[in-house]
Amino acid sequence: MKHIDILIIDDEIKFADMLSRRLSLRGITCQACYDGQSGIQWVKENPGAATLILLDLKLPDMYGTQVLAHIKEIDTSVPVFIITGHGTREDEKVCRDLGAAEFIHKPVSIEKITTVLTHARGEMQ
Amino acid sequence: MNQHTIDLVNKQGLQFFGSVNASISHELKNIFAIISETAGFLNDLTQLSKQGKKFELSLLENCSNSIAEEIERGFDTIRQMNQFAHSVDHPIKETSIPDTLTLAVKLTGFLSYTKKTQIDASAADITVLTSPFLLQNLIYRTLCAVYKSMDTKDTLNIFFHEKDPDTVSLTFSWGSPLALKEFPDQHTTDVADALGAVISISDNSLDLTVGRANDSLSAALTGKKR
Repeated sequence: MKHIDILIIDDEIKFADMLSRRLSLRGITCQACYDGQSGIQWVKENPGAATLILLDLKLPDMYGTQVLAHIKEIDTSVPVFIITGHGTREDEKVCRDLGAAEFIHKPVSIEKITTVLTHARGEMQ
Repeated sequence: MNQHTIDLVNKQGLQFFGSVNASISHELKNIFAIISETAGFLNDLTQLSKQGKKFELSLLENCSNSIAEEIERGFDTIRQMNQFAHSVDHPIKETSIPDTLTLAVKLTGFLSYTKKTQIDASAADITVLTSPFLLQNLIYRTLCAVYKSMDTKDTLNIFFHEKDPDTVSLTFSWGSPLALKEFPDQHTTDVADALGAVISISDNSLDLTVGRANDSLSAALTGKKR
């Protein structure tokens, strides 16, 4: 099992890849999954291996809230940040009830992500 | 059609207009998010260059191509938004079935649960004298209900034909048998009633039968009789 800093689950492939590249330039290791099932599968196969997860709500195969629920069943402690262009207040409430750490609207600054990663690293120690 | 039905349909129409515009704004947000990250990456490369670090020039080309593609995607989205906005220009008009279907498929394409969809391209254009906005509403609601129930890997096929001189039939057909969840709901039934449309559902398909003309709808929305 290889430890990574951030697992990105987002069907906007260009967004996920570009974010991964920018984070990599800052020494942050990332893994991108482009649908809900592959994201859940990655967490199943690598429990506890990601410091935090960035999860989009709009996924082609299932709702982001379903993915969040599955991830939290497998790994209750991993912080999951919802990062979406589609979120409503109702979505935010559902995500928070399911254990999401934060609900962030796109576009999101790289500084915000590095800050939440630093915070998540601190909580792990 | 009584005033109560007209008021109900108008209210639902406003909700429909709002929800479609929300989905369009979300799509635009995603486009801006990609452009924003790409611009950020270009800035990162600039900083690397200032530090004397080398990188592949193809990265710059990839970034400019990506931005151009996303701008085109944005224009396409705005074209659909514009087309949809103009669907309320005329309460009643000759409305093309394939054009209305195409726009509804594109608009539902912004939703998370949309599925692969093919519209029969071989059929000749058919028009009906109706409310383009309400017809768009009914087709959009139908697509949403079918997409929510369909398997991810399944494809939705849409056919349309003149059933008889007075009616047009739209068929939504999918592969695996499924039970549509809570469809038609009351809102959809109200819109269908206003349009004089009939909804028939089987395990593998859904039929919408729409009249070529609807005198009571025309009179209610325009105050004129044909």
